[in-house]
Amino acid sequence: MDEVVVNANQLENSAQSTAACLWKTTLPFAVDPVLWRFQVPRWWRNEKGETKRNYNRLATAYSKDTSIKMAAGPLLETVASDDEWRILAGNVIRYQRDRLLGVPSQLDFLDASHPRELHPARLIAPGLVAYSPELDRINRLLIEASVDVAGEPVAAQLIAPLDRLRDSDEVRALLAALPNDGVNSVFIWTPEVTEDQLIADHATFAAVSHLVAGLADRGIPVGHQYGSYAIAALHDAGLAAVTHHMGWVDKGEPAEEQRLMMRSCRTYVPGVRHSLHFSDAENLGRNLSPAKYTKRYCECRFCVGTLDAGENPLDLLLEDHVLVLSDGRRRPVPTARAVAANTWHYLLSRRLEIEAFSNLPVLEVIERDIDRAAELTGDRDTRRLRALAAEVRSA
Amino acid sequence: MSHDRWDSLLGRDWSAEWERLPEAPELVPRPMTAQITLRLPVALLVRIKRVAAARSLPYHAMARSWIVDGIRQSVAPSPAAASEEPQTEQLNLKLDNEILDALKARADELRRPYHSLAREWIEAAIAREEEALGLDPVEAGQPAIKDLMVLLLHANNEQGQNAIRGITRLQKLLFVIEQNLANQSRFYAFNYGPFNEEVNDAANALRLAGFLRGAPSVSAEPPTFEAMMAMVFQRSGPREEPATEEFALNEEGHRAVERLRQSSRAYDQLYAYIQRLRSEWDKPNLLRRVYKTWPKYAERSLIRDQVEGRARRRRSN
Repeated sequence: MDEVVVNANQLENSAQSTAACLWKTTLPFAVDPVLWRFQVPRWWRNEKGETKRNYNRLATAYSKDTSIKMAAGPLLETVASDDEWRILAGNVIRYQRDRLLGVPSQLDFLDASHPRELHPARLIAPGLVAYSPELDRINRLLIEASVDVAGEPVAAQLIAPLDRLRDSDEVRALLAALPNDGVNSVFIWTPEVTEDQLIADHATFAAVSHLVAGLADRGIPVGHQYGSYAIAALHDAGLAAVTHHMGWVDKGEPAEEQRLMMRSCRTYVPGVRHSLHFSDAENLGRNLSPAKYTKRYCECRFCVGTLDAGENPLDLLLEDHVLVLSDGRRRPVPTARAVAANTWHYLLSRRLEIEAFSNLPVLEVIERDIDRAAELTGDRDTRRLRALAAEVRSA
Repeated sequence: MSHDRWDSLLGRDWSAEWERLPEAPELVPRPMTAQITLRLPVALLVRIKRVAAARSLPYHAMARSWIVDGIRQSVAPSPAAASEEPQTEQLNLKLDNEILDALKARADELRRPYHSLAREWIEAAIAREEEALGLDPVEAGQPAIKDLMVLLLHANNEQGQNAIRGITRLQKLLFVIEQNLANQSRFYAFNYGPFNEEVNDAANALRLAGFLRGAPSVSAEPPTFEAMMAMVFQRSGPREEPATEEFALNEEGHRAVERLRQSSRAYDQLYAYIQRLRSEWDKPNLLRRVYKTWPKYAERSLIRDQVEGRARRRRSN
C-alpha cells in the first residue's frame, strides 16, 4: 500500500482514530472531499431523511463564508453563482489541509512518538458526478479554483455516470472538459457499476479504458477510485493507481450512504477473483490439501500462515452463527472474528493482484488466473475471466 | 488603485525596466548541515506545536524561522528569568551553517549563550503568535475528550479500580465530568442517554496509540501473521456473547497521563477534580443518577424502563 485515502465523511466520524492510525503507520494520506455526496439528498441523508451529524459538520466547513445552505437541498440548487462555487472549492482545499492539524490534544503534543504533523500528500479538487455538460463546466471551475487556492497542482476527480460512458461522443466530451493546467493526477470512478456489469458490457469497459488511455496520453497519471480486479487489469492501458475500500462484497459502489446492514455470509475467493457465498466457498476449498489450497484457492499471507500452523483457513473464514431477528426469523451471519479474518484475507489477496498486474503483462496475469480458476471450478468460473481477457485485448 | 491608473500601468512598455533590476543571486540549494539542540520545558514545546497547528505549519520550520527573524532584528530580547520548569524536552533544529554562524555571532555580540538566545527568541515569538491567534498559553479552551478520558482512566473509583467496564459507563462518566466543567456540552440525547461519538473515537485513538490494555500493536510495518491472528481472536466466535469491553490504561498509558499532569498546573488540578468526581459517581447506580440529574438527556433512551426497574429491585433488596 502506497497511500491511504480517507473519505471526508468518514474523517468527520473518526478524526482522532484516523490521526492515531496515520501517526502509527506513517503512511502518506489524502482526503477525498466527497463533495458529490451533496448532489442528491439520499446520498447524504439517513433512512429517516435526516442529515447525519458528520455530513452536517462537513457542510458547515465547506460552506463557510458563503450563503450556501449546504445539506438543505441538492447542491446545484443551493449554490447561486460561479463565485460561490469558487469559494466552496477553496473551503474544500483548506479543509483537506487543516482538518487533521486541529486534532492533536495536549496528550498528543506530549507524546514523544508523535511523529509528524498530518499534511496530506496530495490535495484533491472537489468533483461532482458529471451528468451533463453544465456539470462538466462546474467541475472545471472547481478544479481551477482549487489550483488557485492550493497554490500547487491538485488531483482531479472524473466521476462519469454510466449513461454518458455508453456514448462515445460523451466520453470525448468528458475528457475534453478536464483541464491539463494544474492537474497532477486524476481519479476516475463510475457509480453503480458492479465488476460483473463492467466485464459484461463492452461499451462501458471500452469507455473506461478509453478514459484511462486518453488521460495517460496527456501525461496525467490516472488512478481509479473504487478499483476491482477488472479495473486493475487496465494497468497496461495506462492505469497508474487503484484505490479500493475494505469491503469484499461488490455492490457496484452506489453513490448513496451505505446503511448499517447485517453482514452477509460471503467471502472473497481469489481462485475465481470474486466473492462467493460461504457454502460455495466451502465446496470449492474445504477438501483441498495445503499445497492445492495455495495453488488453486488462495496464497495470501493469512491463509498460508494458517496452513503452516496446521489449521484450515476456511475454519475461520467461513465461521458463522445464527442470529434470531426481532420478528423471530433466523439468519446465519458471519461471526465477528470471521469478519476480521476475511478482512485480512481480502486485503492481502487484493495486494497480490495489484502486485501481479504491476509486475507482469496484464494478459499473462489473466491467462494464469484462468488456468487457476479452471483447476478450481472447471469451466464454471473461467467464462468471466475469459470475457475480461477479451475486453482487455480489444481495448 | 483606480481603473485608469491600472490601465495606464498595463499599457506602459516595461521592457526597459528589466535592465535596471539587480542581478538575481544564483539559485543554489543550501544544504542544512548544522543542527542546534534546544532544551525546553514540556509546556513550551506544547505551545510551539499548538501554534504550528493553528498556523498549518510544520513546527520545526516555524521555530527555525523565528530564529532567523531574531538574527535579523536589531533589538535583542531581554534575558528571560530562569524558568522553574525542568527542561526535559529537546527541539532539534536543522540550520544551514551561515545561520548558525550568524546566531553565534549575534550571541557573542550580546554576551549571551547562543542556545539561550535562540530559546528566548522562540519564547518571544510564541507569545506574539499566541496573542495574534487568541490562544491561551496555559490552556486552549475546553479540554479534549481524549485528555479527559485518560485522566479518568488514571483515577480510581471507590473500590480502587482504574478500569471501566463498557462504553456506556465510559460515556456517562465523561458526560458527568463535562457537565461539571463547562457550560456547553458536546453530548446529546441518544439511545442510552447522553452520548458523544467523540468518546468512541477517542477510545479507538487511545487503543491505536497503544495506551490501552490489550491494544493491538500498529506500526509502519505490515502486521505479522501472529499479530493478524491476535486481532482476529479478540473478536467473538460462534456461541459467544460479545464480551463487554473493558477500558483500562496500560503502563505506557499511565506514564502518558503522568506527563500530562506535569505539563501544566491546570492539568494536575483537573486530574484531582476528575478523581473526586469518579469517586462520587462511578457506582452501580450511575445510569439512573445521570438520567435523574439531567432528564433531557434521557428523553430518547431505549433503556429508561430497564434502568428504573433495576433501581427498584436494588431498593427492595
